[in-house]
Amino acid sequence: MKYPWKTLSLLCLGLVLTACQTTSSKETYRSAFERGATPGKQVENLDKKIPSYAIADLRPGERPELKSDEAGLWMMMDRAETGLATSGNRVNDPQLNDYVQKIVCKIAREYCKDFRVYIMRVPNFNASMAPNGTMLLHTGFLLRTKNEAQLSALIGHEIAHYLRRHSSQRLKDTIAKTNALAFIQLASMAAGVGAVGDMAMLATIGSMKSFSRDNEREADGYGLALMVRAGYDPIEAANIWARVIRERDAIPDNPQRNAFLSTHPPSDERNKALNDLSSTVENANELRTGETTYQAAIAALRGGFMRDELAKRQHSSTLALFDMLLEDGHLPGEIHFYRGELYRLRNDEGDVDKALSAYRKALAEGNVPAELYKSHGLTLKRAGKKDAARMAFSTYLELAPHAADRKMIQFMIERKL
Amino acid sequence: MFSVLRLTAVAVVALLVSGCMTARNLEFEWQNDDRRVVLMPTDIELSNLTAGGMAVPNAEWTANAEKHFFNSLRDRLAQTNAEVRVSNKGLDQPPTQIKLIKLHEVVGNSLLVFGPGSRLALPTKTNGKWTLGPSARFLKDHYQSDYALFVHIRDSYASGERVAAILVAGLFGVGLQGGVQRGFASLVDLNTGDVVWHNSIVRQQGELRTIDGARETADKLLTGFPG
Repeated sequence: MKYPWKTLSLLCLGLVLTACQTTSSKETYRSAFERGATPGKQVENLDKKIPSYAIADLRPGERPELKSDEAGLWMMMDRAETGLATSGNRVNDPQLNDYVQKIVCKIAREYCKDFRVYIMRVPNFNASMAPNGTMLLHTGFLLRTKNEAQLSALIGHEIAHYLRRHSSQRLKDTIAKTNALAFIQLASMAAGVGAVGDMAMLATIGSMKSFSRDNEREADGYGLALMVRAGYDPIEAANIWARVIRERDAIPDNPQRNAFLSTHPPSDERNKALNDLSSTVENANELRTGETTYQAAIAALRGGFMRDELAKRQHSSTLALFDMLLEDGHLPGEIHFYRGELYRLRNDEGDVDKALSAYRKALAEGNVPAELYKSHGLTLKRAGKKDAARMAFSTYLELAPHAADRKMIQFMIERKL
Repeated sequence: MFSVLRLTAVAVVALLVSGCMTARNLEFEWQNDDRRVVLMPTDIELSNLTAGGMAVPNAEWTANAEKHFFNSLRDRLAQTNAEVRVSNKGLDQPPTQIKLIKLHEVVGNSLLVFGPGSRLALPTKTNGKWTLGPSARFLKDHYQSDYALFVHIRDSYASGERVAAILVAGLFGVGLQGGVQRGFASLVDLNTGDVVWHNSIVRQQGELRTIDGARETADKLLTGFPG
């Protein structure tokens, strides 16, 4: 070998790279759960177990000191928040906003005033927390959760990010690691081994992502403690992930996620860890799930969430989601209708029959929007059943006399299609 | 999320600075006596450049710069024939105003990167019209004004470690980016929403953390502003 030392240094870096994958994830969930049981309290030995740059929890109403980097993050988010407040994508429904804000307060307790929730019309399973207490909640999440306990698990997770100041931790982590990287790159340039600098870059990226995954684990454990404190059954936190896994597994040829670059731990790991942790909570089955109140809170808007879901055109995972919602059993007529819509819009071989069958089930269940009759009519027309189609169109216009597309539907009735 | 935006912004700035860009103008003279100009809240952000090249926003610098720059801007406008009004700030802003400020950032960035005189000027953009659209009329009614002046500035300063890294890299013939001041100002006709006057600066000097520096930057940015 011509440059044995060069190979050796590459190997060493390779080792560093794998080392950042070996933190005990189970320990992180568990420790965070213990810390979350008394939020705000500093626990000496926990800070050693979880890498945190020795950052203490935020106190209620606390703002970071103006000179700090953390204040810079807050400033950016304060600015972004004025934009969010006027965003056209925001769901302004006052009842839903009140409902979610109340649950936030129930979980956050003395921190209640530190959070503002923005429900955004985005059909994905997601939510986020900014360093200044701006919480984004996507409607795709509200569609997927079954009950108040699941919603509170998510809110607990996001509040944990805030209290543990994960954005600030990540900023410190990124600055420290990119600074070290710059030094290594300069040194490797000086030594004439640029490849070492490249390896170091890869190691830095891996290490930053690994830090982010540990933040997520910490938020999961901490959030679980917060939801239990608020009186919710912790097993529902694990159940969320079971639902996510079911949707994911419905996607054919789903590409493997990249374990090295992921910002979040795998769903299977989170499901198992939260399951294990909940089993340690005493009398958990006496705690609330709050299914009826939750379903009542989203009932008026759920149809719109499903309509947005269809726009993603991810038919296989959406069908799995609709299956789960049907099993939950709330307003099944509406779910059958949107399942019919999925088939009608997809229009693959055999979808006309599937759509007609779904619409029939929806009609049998009742509680369907007037729009169903229009869609039913369009599908009957496609199937060549002209008389039935005309009848469906007429019913649509009776139920929705001021529909924006009235003239077009009228035209289809009169022209005898 | 914002780190991706930041990277893109840094890449664009690097491209522009490497091209030694100078200030560019859309020129304009007052058409008549309607010269009421409402000054929009200045959109300023100052950051500290770490050794690794990260721009970390600094709240204290930004708060000072906002104050210094706003005062300098008002003094500079007092030398013109414009009749200056001041808009609401922070949480007192009407939603349409917030949206227009966001829109100005996008339009101004497009002007900076793709506008006349740029190396990336769009060959198909021949009408020379850059506009915030008719919703700008809202400001006309709200502030009883004929024009609005929008200002957007991003300014970064190399930390001590960054300066050291730049020097060391320089020894090996590698150029690392230092602090950059990048900003633009647009005068918008509130009848049409059109940008009638525009100027931009992209440079490796400028100092917004001091009163004198803010005055110098305001003068530079308002070069060619109708008298």
